[in-house]
Amino acid sequence: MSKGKKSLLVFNEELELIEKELKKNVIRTANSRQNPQNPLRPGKEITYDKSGNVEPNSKTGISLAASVKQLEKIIKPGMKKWLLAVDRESVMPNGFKLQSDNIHHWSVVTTQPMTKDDYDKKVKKIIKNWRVMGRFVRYE
Amino acid sequence: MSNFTKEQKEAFVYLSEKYDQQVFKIVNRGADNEIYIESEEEAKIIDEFSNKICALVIKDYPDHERKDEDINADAEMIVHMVSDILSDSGYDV
Repeated sequence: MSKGKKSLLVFNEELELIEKELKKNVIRTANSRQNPQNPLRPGKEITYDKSGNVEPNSKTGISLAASVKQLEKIIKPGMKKWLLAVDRESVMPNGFKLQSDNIHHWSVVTTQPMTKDDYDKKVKKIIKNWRVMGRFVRYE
Repeated sequence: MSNFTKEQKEAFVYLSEKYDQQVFKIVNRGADNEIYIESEEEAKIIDEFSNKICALVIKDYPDHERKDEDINADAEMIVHMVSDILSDSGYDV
């Protein structure tokens, strides 16, 4: 990732800001070089049918943190992560759903079969709407 | 009981076997697409595991040049899986 704020934000010092963001948004975490939706790993973030098309699956998908508690489990001392805000009211394209799995975890999942190309195009459009909050580091 | 894909459960079993035998015993039972807990004690054990797994994995697999990206993504996935397991089981730890 290269866009967004260049300076490093201290996770521990920004908890008030993060809490505020979480009232309206859920948060995608990404490593410094990672495309936020990738890697899309078969059986984990995505499932394919025998023809190689993306299968609908409410269990796999792009996971999003919905609480500070969840973020604190993912971002441990010494780690640097990009945080992206995803509006809880986001409108998803056909074949996708933004679902609340529980108070700590939301997901973007597929609801109908689609080709891999169709999936990729739609995911890119979804991610364009995610706002880069910045790159965060957590200290002890 | 929580349903996952076979690959998700395999990732959880692999990392629990590597880092915590108590957790391994819990997640290694049952069908290859399900994980369940039977007590508040088990809920606490997997919750504690989810609190430390990302740190354990990044320490052993520092993800220089993205070569450890997959196993670190598995650790993060386990955090989300545990929140699902705890929510599905009704244990609030």
